[in-house]
Amino acid sequence: MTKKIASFLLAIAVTLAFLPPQNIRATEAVEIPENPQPEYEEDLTPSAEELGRISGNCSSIKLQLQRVQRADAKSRVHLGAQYETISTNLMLNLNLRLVKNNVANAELADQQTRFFSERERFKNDFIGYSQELEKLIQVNCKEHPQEFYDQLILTRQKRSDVQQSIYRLQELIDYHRNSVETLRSLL
Amino acid sequence: MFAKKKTDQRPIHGGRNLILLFVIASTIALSTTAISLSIYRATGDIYLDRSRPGYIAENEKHNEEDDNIEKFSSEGAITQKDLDEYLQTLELVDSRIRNAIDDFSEAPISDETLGISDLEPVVQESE
Repeated sequence: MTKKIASFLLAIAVTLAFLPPQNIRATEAVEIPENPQPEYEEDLTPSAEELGRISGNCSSIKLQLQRVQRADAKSRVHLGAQYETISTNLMLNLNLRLVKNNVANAELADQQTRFFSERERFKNDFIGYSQELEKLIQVNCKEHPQEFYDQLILTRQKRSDVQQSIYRLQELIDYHRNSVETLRSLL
Repeated sequence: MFAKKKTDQRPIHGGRNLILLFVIASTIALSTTAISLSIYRATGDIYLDRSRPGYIAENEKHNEEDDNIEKFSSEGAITQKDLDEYLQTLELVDSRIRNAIDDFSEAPISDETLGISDLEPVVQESE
C-alpha cells in the first residue's frame, strides 16, 4: 500500500516537473543571445531590376519554394522525432530513476522542463513559418512582385525563428550532457 | 360495413421529401466538413500531419527503424556504467540532430538561390 502511494506521488511529481512553467517564458530559460538584426534586413527594398527578375522567373521561384516546403516537412519530422526521443526516452526516464534512487537532481529536472517548453516552441514556430511559406507560394509573383517580396521577407523572419529554436534546443542538449557528466563524476 | 373511409388527408409528396432530406443531409455534411478542415488548417495541424497525402513523398520519408533507440530504463540503480550508456545514447541522437542543425538556414530561400539577385547562390559545404 505504501509503495502504491509512493509511486502515485512520484508520478505526480514527475508530471508537474514535465509541465512548462506558466510564468516563465521559454526564452528566459536559456541565456542565448538572439540575433536582433538578421543579415537579410540590411536591404529590404528590392530594386526595379530585382522585381523584374521576380516576375520573369516566377515559375522557377515557385518550384524552388515548393521543393523547400517538402524538404522542410521532412526535416521537421526528423528533428521532431529526435527531440521526442531525448525528452521522453532519455530525460524523463533519467529523472524518474534518480528520484527512485533518492538522488533527485533539481538541475536535471529543470532542464527537462526547459527542453519540453522549447520543443513546443519549435513546433509552434514551424507552424507559423509554414503558414507564411504557403502564403508566399500563393502570391502571384508575375503580377505582384513587390507583394511577393514583402511576403518573402516575412517568411525569412519566420524561418529564422525556427532556426533559432533549433539552436536553443541544441544548447540545452549540450548543457544537459555536461550536467550528466558532472553527476557521473560524483557517483 | 366495408364502406370506404372518407379521406380528407393532404397528399404525401414522398419523392419531394426524399429530395429535401438528401439536400439537408448533404448541406449539413458539407458544412461540418468545411468547419473541420478550417480548424485543421487554422490550428496548424495540417503542417504537422505526416499522413497528409503528398506532404512527404513515400521515398522521402525518414526510415523510422533507424529512429528506434533503446529507452533508458526508469528502473534500477544509478551507477557510472548506467550513465555511460545514457551518454552514449544521447550522443547518438545528438549526432543525428547535428546533421540537420542548419536545415532551416536562410540559404534555400535567399535572393541568390531564388534567382532574384544577380549574385551566385552560396553553396553550403557539407561535412
